[in-house]
Amino acid sequence: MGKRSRRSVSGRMVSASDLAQMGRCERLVVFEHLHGSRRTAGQQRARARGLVEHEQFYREGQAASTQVDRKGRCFIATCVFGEAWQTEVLRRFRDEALRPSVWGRRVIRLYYRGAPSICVVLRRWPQMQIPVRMVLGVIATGLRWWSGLPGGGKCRR
Amino acid sequence: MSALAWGVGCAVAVVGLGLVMARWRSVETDAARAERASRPAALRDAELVYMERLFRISTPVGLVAKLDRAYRMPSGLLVLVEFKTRWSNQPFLSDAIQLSAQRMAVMGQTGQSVASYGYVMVKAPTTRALPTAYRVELLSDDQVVALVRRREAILANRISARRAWSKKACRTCALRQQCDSLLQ
Repeated sequence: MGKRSRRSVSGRMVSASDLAQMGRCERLVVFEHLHGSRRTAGQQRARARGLVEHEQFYREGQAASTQVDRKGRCFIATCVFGEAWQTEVLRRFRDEALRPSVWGRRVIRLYYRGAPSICVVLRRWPQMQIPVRMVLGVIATGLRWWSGLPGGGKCRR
Repeated sequence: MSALAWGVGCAVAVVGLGLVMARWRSVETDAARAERASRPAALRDAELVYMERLFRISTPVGLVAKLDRAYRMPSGLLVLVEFKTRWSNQPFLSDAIQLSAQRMAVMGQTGQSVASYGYVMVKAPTTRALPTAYRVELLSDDQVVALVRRREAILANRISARRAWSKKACRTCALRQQCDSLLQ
C-alpha cells in the first residue's frame, strides 16, 4: 500500500508493487502505463483504509523495535562509541560472521548475558571506557581491514 | 499560602506528567505486544531488522522495492513479510511476485541471504480484525527477471497482454467497460 507512486524511478526501473500488478492483470498494467491509474470509488475507499492499517502496522513494528533497542542499548560498543563506524563494523561482524554458525550464536548469547552488567560498570566509571574504547577500536579497525567491511548502515542495532 | 499553592501546583504537574508518560509507555507496550502476537510462529525468535526500507538494484534488471518488514532468523537468514488489507483472506500471486522482487533487491543490494519463502499478512479492513499470516513460496531470480522482461515487452507492444487471472478482479475493475476497446 502506498508504494505504487514510487514507480519509474528511472526509465528502466520497475517497482516491486508495479511488477506485482502483472500477477493481477496484464491489461491493467498496459492501461495504467498509457492512461494513468483509474480507480472506482470503492477501490479508493479501500486504498485509504489500507493506508491507515499500514500506518498502524508500521507503528507496531516501530514500538517493538524501540523496546528491543531499549533492552539492547547496553551493548558495549554502543556504550563506548555511540553510533559510530566501529559499532557498525562490530555489528556486521556479529551478524555476518558469528550468527550463521552454532558456535557463533553461542558466543553472541554469552555476550548478551554479560554485556549489560559491563555497560552498567562502564557508565558508572566513565574513565574505564578509555581502555575499552582503545581495545574495541583496534579490533574494529582490524575487522574492517581484514574483511573489507565499509561500515555501511545495514543493521539496525 | 502562595508557597503552598506553588507546591501543590508543582505536585499536580509532576503527577500529571507521570500519568501521561505512563499512558504513552502503555500504548507503546500494547503496540509492541500486538507486533509479537501478529508474528507467524516460525518468526517468534527472529529479530525485526528492516521496516519500510527501500532497496534497489540495477542489474540484471532495474528493481526498486520497499519492504514492509524483514526479520532475521537466529541462523542469519532474512525472512520478508508483506502486509495487505483486504476482505479476501488469502494470499495472491501478486503478493508472491512482490515479495520475490523485494527478495531480489535485498540480496542484490546487501548481499545477505534471504529465505526462498516469505509471509503475507492479510488483515480484513476492520479495526478489530487480526492479521492472518500465510507462508508463500517465492519466485526464483530467473523468474523475476523473466517477468520484468515480459512486462517490458508488453509495454513496448511486442507481445499482447493477458486478461486478469480471476473473474473477480474483472468485476471490480474500473476499466471493465473499456477493457477490450482501449487496448486495441
